[in-house]
Amino acid sequence: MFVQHACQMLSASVLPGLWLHIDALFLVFPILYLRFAHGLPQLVIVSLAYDAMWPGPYGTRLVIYSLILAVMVPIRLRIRRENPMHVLLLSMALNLVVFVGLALVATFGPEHMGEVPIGRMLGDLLASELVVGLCAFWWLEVQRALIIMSSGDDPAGYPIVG
Amino acid sequence: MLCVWWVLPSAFKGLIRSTFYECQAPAWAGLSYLGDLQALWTDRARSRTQLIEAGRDMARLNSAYLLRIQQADIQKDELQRIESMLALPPLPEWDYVVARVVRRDLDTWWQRMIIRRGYDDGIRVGDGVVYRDGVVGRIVEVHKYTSVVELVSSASFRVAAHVDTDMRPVTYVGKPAPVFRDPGGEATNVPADIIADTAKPRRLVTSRLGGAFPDGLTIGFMRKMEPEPDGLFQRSEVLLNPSLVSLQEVAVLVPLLREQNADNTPVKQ
Repeated sequence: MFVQHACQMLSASVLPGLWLHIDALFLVFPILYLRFAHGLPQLVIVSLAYDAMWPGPYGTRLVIYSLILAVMVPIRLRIRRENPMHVLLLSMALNLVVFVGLALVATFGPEHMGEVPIGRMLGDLLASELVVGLCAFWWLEVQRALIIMSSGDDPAGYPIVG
Repeated sequence: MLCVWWVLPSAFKGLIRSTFYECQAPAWAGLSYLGDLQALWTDRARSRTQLIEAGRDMARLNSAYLLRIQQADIQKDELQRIESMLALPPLPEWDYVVARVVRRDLDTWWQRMIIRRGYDDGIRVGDGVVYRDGVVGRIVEVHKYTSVVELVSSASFRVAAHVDTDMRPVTYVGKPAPVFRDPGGEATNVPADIIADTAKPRRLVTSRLGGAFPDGLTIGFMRKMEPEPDGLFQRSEVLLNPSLVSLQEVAVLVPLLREQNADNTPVKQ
């Protein structure tokens, strides 16, 4: 909601024609901290809720998020979640994958949206990558702190399960 | 799990989608109400002198509009007289349902907004949406208390139009905004004898041919004509009003005929 409002304000004020896509922020925590059995239901709910407001084919994000989770589960053992650089690179890569997936669906899918200027797509992508890269580690720590506050359990105390 | 999703019937997916949508809608509407409350408290901070000045300006505007209404009534009577003389079918009329904007989605591919009026207010898919400076878009989804408007700048928005003083039809298509620029559109099939340039832009207005809008509402301005490949027609970029992306309130055009039909429908016991 906050990001949606930020985008609205950006579009309406100083930077028209710019929109942030921050899908990676929904993905980093389930990938780096949750078991597959816990992360999948969370991603399913988030993606279906997000897609309900999206005009494209329903379930697009569900498919993209689930595929990413399935691919990342064996790889995540090599990622150090306490390292901000790892989180930054991971979140930017995830955001790129989701953006490309959405772009393909929007361009070639049943709800064809005509030609979008390539400059617009690149502008949105670069701005989104920058914002996601800068926010990912902080966002991860916020979620971790919320879990510690609510349950008293530090999720960083548990090993990453492949 | 993906296989399960793919084989799910589309009706079931639609049900899930509307459930998730309707669950989120109150939160967005709540935020919109909060925004209204914030604006109210900001207005309450204004001085008495400012309010008196605003009231005086409003009174002047009201007087001007009352005169306009009288003139419009006379013109309407004249139109009806001519219609009855020539046995013409009456022109469609609309009721204006004012709605607050809840959320704006001006993302890379889609240009939409959600408004705080829905099925219960008589809004249906295809209804036109306007504001003080012209066309906003068209309703593409209707939910119980909210509706989704496809903006005039969306690439899938297409409407019949004409140049302000020329009744020959023109096609208008929205175009997604380039980066750091305001949204726009494109007019095609413009007759070859119409001239427009930056010094003398031509106003593109709605045509009643489309059915969703009354004639003469501003879509945008054409500043530069280019010949189309066939050589018979021209095309032009259409400059839309930049305030389109920061609208707070719009009006939905609900056809009066549909409202009357709905009123005449007997209520099932």
